[in-house]
Amino acid sequence: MSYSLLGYTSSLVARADESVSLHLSRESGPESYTAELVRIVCGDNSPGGAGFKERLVDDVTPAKLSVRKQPLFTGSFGLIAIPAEAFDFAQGFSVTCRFFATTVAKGGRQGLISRQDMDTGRGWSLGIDDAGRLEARIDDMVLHIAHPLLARAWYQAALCYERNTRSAVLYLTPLRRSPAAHGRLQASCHVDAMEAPDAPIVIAARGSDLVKLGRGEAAEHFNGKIECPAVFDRLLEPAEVDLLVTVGHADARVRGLVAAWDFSAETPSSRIIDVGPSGLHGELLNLPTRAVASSEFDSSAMAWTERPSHFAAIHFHDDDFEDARWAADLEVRLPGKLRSGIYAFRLTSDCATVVERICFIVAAPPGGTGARIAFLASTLTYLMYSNMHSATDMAETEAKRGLWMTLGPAEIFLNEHRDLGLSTYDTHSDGSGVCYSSARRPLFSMQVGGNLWALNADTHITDWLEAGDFDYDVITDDHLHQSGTAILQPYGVVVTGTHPEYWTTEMLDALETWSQTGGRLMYLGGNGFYWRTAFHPDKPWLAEVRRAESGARFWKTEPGEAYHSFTGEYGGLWSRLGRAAQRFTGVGTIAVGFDFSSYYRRRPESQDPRVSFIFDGVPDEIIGKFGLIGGGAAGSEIDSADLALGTPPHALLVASSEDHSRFTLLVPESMTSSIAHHNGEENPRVKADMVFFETPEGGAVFSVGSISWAAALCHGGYQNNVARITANVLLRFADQAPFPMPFTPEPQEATDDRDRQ
Amino acid sequence: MYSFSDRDVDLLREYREVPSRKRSLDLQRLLTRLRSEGIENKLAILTLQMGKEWAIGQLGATRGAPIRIYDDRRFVNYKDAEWALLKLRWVKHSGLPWPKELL
Repeated sequence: MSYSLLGYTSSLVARADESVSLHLSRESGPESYTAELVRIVCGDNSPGGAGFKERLVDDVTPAKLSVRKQPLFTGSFGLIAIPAEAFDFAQGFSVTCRFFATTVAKGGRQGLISRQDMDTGRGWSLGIDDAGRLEARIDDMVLHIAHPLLARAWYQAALCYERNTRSAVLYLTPLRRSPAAHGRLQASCHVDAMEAPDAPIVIAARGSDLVKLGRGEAAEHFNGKIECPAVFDRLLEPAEVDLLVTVGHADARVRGLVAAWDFSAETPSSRIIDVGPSGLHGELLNLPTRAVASSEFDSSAMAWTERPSHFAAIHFHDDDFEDARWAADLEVRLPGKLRSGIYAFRLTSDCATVVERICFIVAAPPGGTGARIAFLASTLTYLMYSNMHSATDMAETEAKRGLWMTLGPAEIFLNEHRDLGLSTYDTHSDGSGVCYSSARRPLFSMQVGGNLWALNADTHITDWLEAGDFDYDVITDDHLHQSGTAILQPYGVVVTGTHPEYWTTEMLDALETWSQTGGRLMYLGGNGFYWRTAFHPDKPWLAEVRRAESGARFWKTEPGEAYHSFTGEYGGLWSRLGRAAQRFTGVGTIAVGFDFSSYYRRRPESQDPRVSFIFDGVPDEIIGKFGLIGGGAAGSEIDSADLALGTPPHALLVASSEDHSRFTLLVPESMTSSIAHHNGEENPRVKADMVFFETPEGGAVFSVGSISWAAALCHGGYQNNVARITANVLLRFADQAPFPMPFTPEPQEATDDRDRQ
Repeated sequence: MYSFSDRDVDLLREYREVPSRKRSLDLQRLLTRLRSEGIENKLAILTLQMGKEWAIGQLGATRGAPIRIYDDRRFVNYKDAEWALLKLRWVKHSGLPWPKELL
């Protein structure tokens, strides 16, 4: 399985009159392409689906492109350029660091810290050899500690060299709480001579070519954590090495310090700070994980912001990714009057054998266009789902989903192309969770055609909006995060996508504020408002999630690593943070199941005059017993009301789904402990609730709590009860007539979770 | 743990004859057993053309190793691809030959 062409735009989100650059790499096949701008109406090209629909943007002149292969470099490392005069090695030198290797024997050498010319071998390095032993090299001399290293154990390493005696000593000391059953080990050798190389210091990999290193290209990547690397200008005595084991960082009692990098400094950034006398600050390449538990972590403080010394390590991985850094093949200034929407550069090879589309979102201008309706594109969620490997990496997926493993072209391709970066659903090669995602790479969750998920699934909503000739703008998570409520203010009603799962604090603050001041929200998805997420403070193409405490997740955060490195915020589920989705949408995630979807049955509350507009022209008791995802409008990931979690007491549950499958399973956080009847066949809590309630200042909320809902809109040529209900609500919500708050109801007693299980 | 038995032949027949939404609990238990395995060299269904053509594929021995086409068969019906995979998994996990009375 192959893709002929891969690409991404300079930003996932742009606006009319802004420039967008297109970055391409030819993987195979044709070299020459014609690039055109198209507006995507519907990306569902599946047999029996809604049908693929796109419109050419005539205002943008097609461009002829000759496309070449562009490289990708993964694997993170630290880089410190060294001025020639920085080190005086007249007497010798010592280099130390703490480390916690996660793949001790991964089939190759791993660099811890080095300053060595890769061509001549001149210089020194500390690392792990291919047999899983601590190794040091000085020029062509090799030292190693014969005792094999333990994985996931903290050690201190020190390499000390004295010029006069030409002796080199390598030390390895297990740190406290290490399971290693030995004390300080050492090895020594005679070194003929050593001249300082003209090379940078590299941490967690090896390399010496500054141009290559600067674009993220290094070798011999280390998997694991490194803490407090330091360099001295003389040989340290054993007692001094022992002192560093005790105090960690360089100590005033140990003379000759040249540089000491404190990895707890400037945690949100990509800088590494030298707290020694030389000020040799460095950069991190390819986005290693910061804000991780280090050797001193003892659970006395769980936040890196509270006690940085317990979080003074960086976790490097050989598959970390930050930026493809591909050169641009095309730059286009978007037409000033370009309508907001989902767009793509459509690339057609000369003989039309290959057609690829590189999608991005054109957001409405600040202040809107006068439309009352906004579709909120879940750009942050799209980002967090790229590029997934769980289909091929997770053994339990089949049994969990009740489906045979079925792999499409994207999964097959991504399985072999880990250099395109992982998703926040994946684990690194050392088994640790991936908590960052970058938009500066080909994003498979931004593909149209193929799986009905993420952007592609959301085109069922844009398709329906277009078919209904609704006047609407498209806005994005990115702008909501950056500008807050100002993005929402022009609109009377905001329609979500099918899966608005990831929310930053800023996004949620803005939506809640707007919703409490007259805004009207149509939540047309499931599993929404689920994970707290963070954007990088300086690099808006990067986002982070920590899978803390609980949740439907594919990996879990390590102890002490629940706080985002980008913001210092505690991560995890919004429901665990006191801001459950039920508070402002009426519903929140209750179950997931991917074998079959189901239908809703109207409840007596649907006869309430307050919601008569919803069911205008809908006499049916059963809603949505059809659809392109699982054959029903209620399914995939579903949400239910819960007074205890904040569903407003006056909310009307107008319909609920039923008859879910054995493999539609309660999410972990909905149970206090494992239960046998956690599936849709046996547990009545497995249901999607359709909810309506009024909000202050004439606002209102309508939620369907199902990812599958939108995939039912096109059924029967858009003539069906799902489409009718959606249109009824949208038209009423777009009408400026206020929704009066009903009488203040008597508070209802919250139900205890245990009773319901 | 699930124990394979002669009774499973009836469940395999049910798999072929009963719509997937209506499968018995016993059959679901058998299927869960056949789906409980590691990733190494795992057999799976490959979608060659969406909604039109499928094949049996095999993952590699290690994460990220190429996925290869397992055999020459091509299926124009997804249900047939599922049935073919079920047969392979049955032989692998039950240690028993595929029942002669089933096609």
